[in-house]
Amino acid sequence: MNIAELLVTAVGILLCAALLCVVLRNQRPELAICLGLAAGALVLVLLLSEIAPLFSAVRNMMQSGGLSAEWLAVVLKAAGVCLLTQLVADTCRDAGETALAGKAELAGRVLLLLLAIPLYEQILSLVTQLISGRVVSG
Amino acid sequence: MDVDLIFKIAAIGIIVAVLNQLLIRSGREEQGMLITLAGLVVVLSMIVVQISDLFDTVKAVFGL
Repeated sequence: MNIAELLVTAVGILLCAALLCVVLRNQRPELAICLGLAAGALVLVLLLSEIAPLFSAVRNMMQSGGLSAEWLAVVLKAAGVCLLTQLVADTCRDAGETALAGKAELAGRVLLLLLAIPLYEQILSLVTQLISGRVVSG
Repeated sequence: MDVDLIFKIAAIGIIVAVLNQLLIRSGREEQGMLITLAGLVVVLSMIVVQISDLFDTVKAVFGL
């Protein structure tokens, strides 16, 4: 599927879903939210199934920059967590549950921090090495 | 790609709304509520498949 076709498909799905949501919201708000969720999931699956070239390009760039593949994995996991968190938080907000949306975002932040712990440790060890090296050389 | 899913959900919503109004006007409010509940359950069971598909895709693509 080329880019223009992808764009037209996503735009068509989202516009139809938005119109139908507006129609449904007055009578059955819960079904309107279900419809929004389904349309969001459809479009995300559509986009994610076409995203592989982007990832291989990023991987090539990181390899040519001399960064390890482990860091790329952390970045990709963080992107996935952000995507799901955003979907859930937006759905909760659409349903009028701002508090639940805030909790979903909090969960996403905690997961991101957990993912980033190894990188923090590496930075910390690097800083420790630098400081001790300066002490030894000075 | 099943874009039909969106139209199915919208159709279920409209039908449920019409039936609900009909039943409430004819004085059967309990059955109207049951229809609402049934519509919600049907739509949810349709969506769950899609959501799990999304989760599997995200897991596979981002390596979670």
